[in-house]
Amino acid sequence: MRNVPETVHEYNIPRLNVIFVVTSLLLLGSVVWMVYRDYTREWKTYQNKSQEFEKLKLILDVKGAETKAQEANIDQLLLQLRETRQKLDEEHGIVAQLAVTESLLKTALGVATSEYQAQKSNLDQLVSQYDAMVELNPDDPLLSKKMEQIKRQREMLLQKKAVMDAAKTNHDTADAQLAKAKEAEIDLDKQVRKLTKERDLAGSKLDKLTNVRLNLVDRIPMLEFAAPFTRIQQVITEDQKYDLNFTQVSRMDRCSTCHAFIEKKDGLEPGQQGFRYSGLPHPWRSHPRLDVFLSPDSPHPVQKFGCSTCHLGWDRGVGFMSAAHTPQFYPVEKEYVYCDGLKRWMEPSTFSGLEQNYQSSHDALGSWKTSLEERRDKLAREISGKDTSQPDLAVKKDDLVRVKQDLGQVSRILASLPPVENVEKAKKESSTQARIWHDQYGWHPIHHKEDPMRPKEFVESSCLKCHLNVTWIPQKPLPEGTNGPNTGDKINQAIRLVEQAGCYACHRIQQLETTAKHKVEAGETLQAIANRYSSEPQMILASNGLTKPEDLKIGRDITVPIRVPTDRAAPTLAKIPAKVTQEWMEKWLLNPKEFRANTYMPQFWGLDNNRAGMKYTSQDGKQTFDWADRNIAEIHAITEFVFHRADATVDSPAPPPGNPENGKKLVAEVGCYGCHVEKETWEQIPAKDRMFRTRGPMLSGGGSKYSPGWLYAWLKDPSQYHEATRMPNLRLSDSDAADIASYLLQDKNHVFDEKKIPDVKPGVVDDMVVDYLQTKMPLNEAQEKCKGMSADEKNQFAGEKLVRRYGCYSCHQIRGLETEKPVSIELSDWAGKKVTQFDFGFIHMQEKNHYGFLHQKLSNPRSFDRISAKRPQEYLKMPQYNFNEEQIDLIMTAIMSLTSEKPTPASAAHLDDSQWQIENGRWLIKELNCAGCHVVEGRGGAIYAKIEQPFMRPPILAGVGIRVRPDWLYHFIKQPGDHKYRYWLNARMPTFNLTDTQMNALIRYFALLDKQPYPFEKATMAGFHPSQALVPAGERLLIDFKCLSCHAVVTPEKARENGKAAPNLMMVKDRMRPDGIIPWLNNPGDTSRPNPVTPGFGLMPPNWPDQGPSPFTNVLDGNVQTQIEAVRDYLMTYEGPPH
Amino acid sequence: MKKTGIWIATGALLVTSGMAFAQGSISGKAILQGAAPAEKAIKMDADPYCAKTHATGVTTKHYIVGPGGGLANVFVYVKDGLAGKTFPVPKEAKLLDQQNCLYVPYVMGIQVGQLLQIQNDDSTLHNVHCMAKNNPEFNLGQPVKGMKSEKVFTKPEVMVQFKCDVHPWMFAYVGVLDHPFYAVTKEDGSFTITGLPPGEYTLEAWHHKGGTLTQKIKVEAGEAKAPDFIFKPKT
Ligand SMILES: [Cu+2]
Repeated sequence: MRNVPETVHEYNIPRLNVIFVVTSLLLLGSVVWMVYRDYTREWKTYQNKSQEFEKLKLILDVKGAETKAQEANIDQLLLQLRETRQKLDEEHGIVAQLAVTESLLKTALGVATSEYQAQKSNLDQLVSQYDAMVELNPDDPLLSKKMEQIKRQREMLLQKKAVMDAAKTNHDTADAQLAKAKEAEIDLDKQVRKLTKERDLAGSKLDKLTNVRLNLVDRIPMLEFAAPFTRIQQVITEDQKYDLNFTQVSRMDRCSTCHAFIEKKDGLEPGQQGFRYSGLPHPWRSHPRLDVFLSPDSPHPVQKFGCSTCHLGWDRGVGFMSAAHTPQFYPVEKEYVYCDGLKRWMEPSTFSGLEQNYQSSHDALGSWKTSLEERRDKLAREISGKDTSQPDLAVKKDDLVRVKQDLGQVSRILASLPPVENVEKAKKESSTQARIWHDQYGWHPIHHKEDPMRPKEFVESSCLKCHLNVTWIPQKPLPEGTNGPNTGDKINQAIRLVEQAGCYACHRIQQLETTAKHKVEAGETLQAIANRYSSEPQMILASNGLTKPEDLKIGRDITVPIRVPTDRAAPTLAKIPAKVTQEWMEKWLLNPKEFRANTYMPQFWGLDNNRAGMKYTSQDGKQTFDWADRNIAEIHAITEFVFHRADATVDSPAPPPGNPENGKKLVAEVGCYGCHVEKETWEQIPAKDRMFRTRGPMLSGGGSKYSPGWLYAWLKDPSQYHEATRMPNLRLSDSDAADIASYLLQDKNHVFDEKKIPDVKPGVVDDMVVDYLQTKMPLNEAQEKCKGMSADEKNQFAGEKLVRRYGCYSCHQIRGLETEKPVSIELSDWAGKKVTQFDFGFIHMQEKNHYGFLHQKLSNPRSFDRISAKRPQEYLKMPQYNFNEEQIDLIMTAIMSLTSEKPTPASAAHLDDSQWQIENGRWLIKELNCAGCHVVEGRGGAIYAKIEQPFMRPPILAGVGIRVRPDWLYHFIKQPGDHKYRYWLNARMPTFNLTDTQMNALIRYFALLDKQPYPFEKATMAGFHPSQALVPAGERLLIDFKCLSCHAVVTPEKARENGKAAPNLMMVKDRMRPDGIIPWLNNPGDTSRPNPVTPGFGLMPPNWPDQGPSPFTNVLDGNVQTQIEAVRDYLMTYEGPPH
Repeated sequence: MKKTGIWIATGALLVTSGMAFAQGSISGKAILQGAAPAEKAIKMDADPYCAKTHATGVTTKHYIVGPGGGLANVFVYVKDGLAGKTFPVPKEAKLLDQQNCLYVPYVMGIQVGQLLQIQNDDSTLHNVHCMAKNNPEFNLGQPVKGMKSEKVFTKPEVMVQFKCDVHPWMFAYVGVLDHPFYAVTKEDGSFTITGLPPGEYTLEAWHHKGGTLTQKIKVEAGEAKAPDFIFKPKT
């Protein structure tokens, strides 16, 4: 070394070495770091854990399948199979021999057949020679010789045929024996496979997960890329797209990367022990209601709909934050516990679900292990030192091998399973989902994500994206053994509330409108178009800006509105002076809820931007006015204007004196509470009933409000006051109407009555008039013009301006303003707006998003401009509804569903022709509020809670299309008073003023709902003739079954006193479809299904319980179905009780 | 499977021999404190058959009070303290009869899985309408005298109401339990529950009008005396 001359370098070698070492180490370090970061990515840790759970589940599946197989006696089957196979092996020689024999015989048969054929042709030849010889010379001596020859040949032919037949029989026998021997084996093999399939499937999955080599090698960092145990999972939904920079992008949902078991069903009965995916914490927990979502057999399979279609969020994100998870909107403080085993926070209920999973796995595995050990020892004893070629011992030997394998796996998994007691809660705290997420995932509010996930509370907002054109979002009944709110309840209630509160009247919401596009064809009348779409001629003209039917030119494209509200959202003001006084209206406008606590009429004055004590500057800038005075001036002007515009009305004469006690009784009895609530109990009514019972106003404060004459006339016939009113006619007699009026007038709101409206200050009115005049002219001209106006002119002028500003005409009919456009912005794409488009004004929010803005807007709409230098008419004008939190939540749910994002036609809920027609009826059922009194499609019956005795309740409307004749239904709906089928009911079917289009829509609805043909050729009596042979037996049965114990017609009073009554059988022949009586008699009052053919309150006992036997064996040989037919045929001729 | 079989067999043996387990019983009384409200007359004229069988008139029998205020038709049963134990289902059936347009008995008990026979002894139509909440509801027509139907309850339920829609005054109440430790008080208000393993129990007494009362009681071998269940009259 010393001899080598030292090279001289420009640079310092040792230093360079140091740099090299350091950089190498840095590089190595960063590579290791990168690999480590990749190896421990969030989603990989979840997937690794999910494999642990998967192992647990699989081993339990194996056990379950094993138990099932044992119960199905698989040991016996295996033994049989083995024996059969062995027998087959032994018999193989015989079988083969048979086969050889068969083929030999077949050959022989072939030879014999051809010999037979040759023989036959030989014979035929001889016969024809013989014939020819006879013809030539009948006396030819050779003829007899020829005949001898023919006879011999004939005998030979017969012999050959016998040989052939024998061969055939032998062959067939052998063939059958062969097939049979084989068949037994095939059949057994099939049975065994069926029993072991489930086990083998779970077993092979488990093998892969627990394979030592795979687990050692394939989980090594870097190598794992080759055959990854963990990989990103994704669903690409062709149909579900979203808008990304003006292009439509398919959703690529990677959610199941972490939510590994999201679509896995538990496969257990309620209460059954076992492993439940639904009992795991997030992200492993399975989705709720798999019968509705994700499963391939559900209406929303994950392959088609993905996840972000409903939940929103960043579809490609595989991290907690990048997927844009959003915590609950309402910060609920609740208990959380920490699971050491999983290093996760969770709710106590989730924790106990997890514990149960561990516990049942431990128990099951432990007991299985013990039984496997026992089995192993037993099998080992039985075969030790014996010849295992015997079938029964061979089976045992195989069994032992499997038992040992299972035991190995069970032991391995048991060893790796965390002991139950280690999975324990470490801490308890009160926290919110957002705070827990912060601790767990470092979650923080996000501002830059465009579509963050929906908070859990609002996920049903997504339903409306696809389920357009329907009255109710379809719902599946809750699975058995569960209760609580159902999927879809919230969005359905939300839409009903938006309708009832009239949001759509001021804000156009296209999602709530149903229209059809139509091109007018030659010869098509307006009425024909209306009929075709179940629409109304006037509505078609109005929505196309037309005035006369002649304007419908051929080829013109028109919009046909379908399923529109039958009336405006609020009462008409066209004849208001007949109903209330001007003073009442002014006090009402000041604070509607003070008069009626549940009204949907909002408050416009005395709010956060126009409260008493708040000041504004006059138009000339010289004075300061108090908002209290301006409010009074505005209210007075509006009232003056509305009363002035109304029709001149003659005062209704005072009603005859009534009995309020009887009135109270009648209100409860005739059915008022199907649509109205009473002030004492309205807050306790469950939401599912409330949506029906708030169709009309609360029955309170009548004495403070109504003109007695008006009320009396209204009760008797609401349509004389307002033709389009939703209030139907209850056909009250004069005295009933007087009694009800006197009862309703008895209730007064004293606080309201004592309230005084302050005097209007002329200076404030002038300033208000100048404020509005200034939109057209300069200040001095406006002031000048104002001076020249009379007090009434000022009120009329300002009143109209104010009515237009606040949009009163949107909900109320006001003469001259009937066709004005909605007063406020359209909401059809509100949820699709960017947060930056919202003016939060003076409101400060920690997190600015749609939900926060909407919540503030709905709870306090005027809070956004509390202090302002605007002119009074520029202030925010959205009124205050004083909604409660539940209502705000519902309206938010509805509004958040309004986006312009459209599903592709393939995934939009499609309505076929019959569904479309059903929807027309459903809409009417909703508009007429039929479900206030009846249960329709499992919904409603709101009045039932007010009628204690089931036999006094209005009927359940199910199976109507099957049971009731359409012609009868038509007459009944038209003139309900003419029909006394349930003559004892106090509740009255009201008379609705329906058009023929509406009548047809309803009847068609009932028919199509029950899959009955429409129109109803088959439905009527045509073609039905009661069997004269059966009628006497039917009569006999009616007597024997003592049907008239309940069906005898008595007076309504007597029936109610008896506490029982049943329909008038004399009307059966007019009312019932002959086919429809049969299912009813077979199973009366079957309420076991959601929409039974034979609904009822269970009052009619099944006379042939459980389909028989009949208690009367002497009639028609006791044949149940014939007896039922006999009763039907008799009822179809029934004119009255038999003598 | 075999193991449990043996246990059941052994258990049955021990129970029948009555030797190995010390058994206790509870006896007590239900008392009505105060005057019973007046009973209402039942008008049976809607069904002439029923009216005829009660020619002298019939009233409701909500409160049947014996000497010293003893209250009959109170269903007394062990509500708590038997968790985890199973008891054999009696082989003999229980009978709910309809006699002279009334259910007989008015109050009774039955075990889950035990056969309930429902019989019509009247020459008129009754419908047996079981208004169970926890068990399946059923409704049977019995138009013929002597007709008998059989039913079995699958879940415990106290009490199951039976009614007849043809005769709105007809009611019966059946307590369904998963054990045999119940009794219905006799005319003098007394009851005895026998064969109870020693232990601490919660007893509940149910009366159709008076509601429910509970008390805790400790049972050792021999007879335990339960304090009186004191009901207040309610209409
Ligand atoms: Cu009866």
